[in-house]
Amino acid sequence: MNVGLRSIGTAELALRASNRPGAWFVLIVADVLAVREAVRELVTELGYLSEQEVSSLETQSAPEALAAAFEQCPPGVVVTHGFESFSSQTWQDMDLLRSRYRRDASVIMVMTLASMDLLMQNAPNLASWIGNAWQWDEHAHELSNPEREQRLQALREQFGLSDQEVIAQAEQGQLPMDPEYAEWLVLLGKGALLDHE
Amino acid sequence: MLIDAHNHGLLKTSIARIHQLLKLEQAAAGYAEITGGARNFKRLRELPHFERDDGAWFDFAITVAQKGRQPLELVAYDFEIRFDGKNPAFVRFDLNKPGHQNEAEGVRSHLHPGADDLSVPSPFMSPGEILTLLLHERFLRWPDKVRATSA
Repeated sequence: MNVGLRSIGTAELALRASNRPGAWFVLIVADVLAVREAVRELVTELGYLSEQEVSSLETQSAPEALAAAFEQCPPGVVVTHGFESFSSQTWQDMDLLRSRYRRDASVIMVMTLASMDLLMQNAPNLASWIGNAWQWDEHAHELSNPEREQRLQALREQFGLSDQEVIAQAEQGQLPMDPEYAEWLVLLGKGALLDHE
Repeated sequence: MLIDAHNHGLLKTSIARIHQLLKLEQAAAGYAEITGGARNFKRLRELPHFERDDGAWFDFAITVAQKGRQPLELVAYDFEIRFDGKNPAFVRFDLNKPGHQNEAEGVRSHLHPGADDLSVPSPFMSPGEILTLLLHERFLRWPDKVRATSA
């Protein structure tokens, strides 16, 4: 999904939200399934960063109930979702109730691009609160294929061994003790061979 | 720790770049690799790395294991910090994989003071302790006035 938005990983967004009290952020995800996954990861990551309780609030297509939930939840960061069921009217209603969503901690709204389009068209005042919107990169924290291959190629060149030779040595319990060999096996998906040592 | 160092002016690497450099590779059987920067045996500055406020630069790799509900186990690591134009040009902290010979000889944890073929036993340190050293205001830093014997 290429919408011109910058990508961001869960950890970086959680850090930004933790350090920007009162800020509103939007995280764009691919679909409803991704919404739940993103919310789950954000709540987990925010939990590591903040001593305050993190709240996850689902809208239930009811701006009034959501406003009440905002007012009742603990003072920490709020991750809110469930906007895919919102109609244009629902967004307009939410815009009218916006003062009840104000809080000292930051708010992250997780939604699809279609939901964000409706927000921008129907809730201009709420939209003006949004400091940043990003596209979720759920793999931001993982080694990419090129990065993995760069590391493997560097290991092969440095030690003059092929991946197969390293695996064979590990299977025979003859792999050198240097830390690079542990990494080598993990990158090859052969971490279990470390149990052979 | 890296972000704190950036916020205190000890690490030039931006917060966004810190997130880009820190990666995780999870393998089967509960092993994982945490990497910070590229694998850089040739010590080429153009490869991704972290950079301190004084120009020293470093990267690292940590192998861990998690078996079931057991606490995370440290398997191996290497952290290397480089000082362009200085001698020694680098210091690398290695923790070898566990093994009878290593531990019997007391060399599982060691450091390389500027030469891959020269090593000296060092205290066992956690990755956090090593990062504390690399990001410290006083240790592993060349003074403004270098003694003639260090040149």
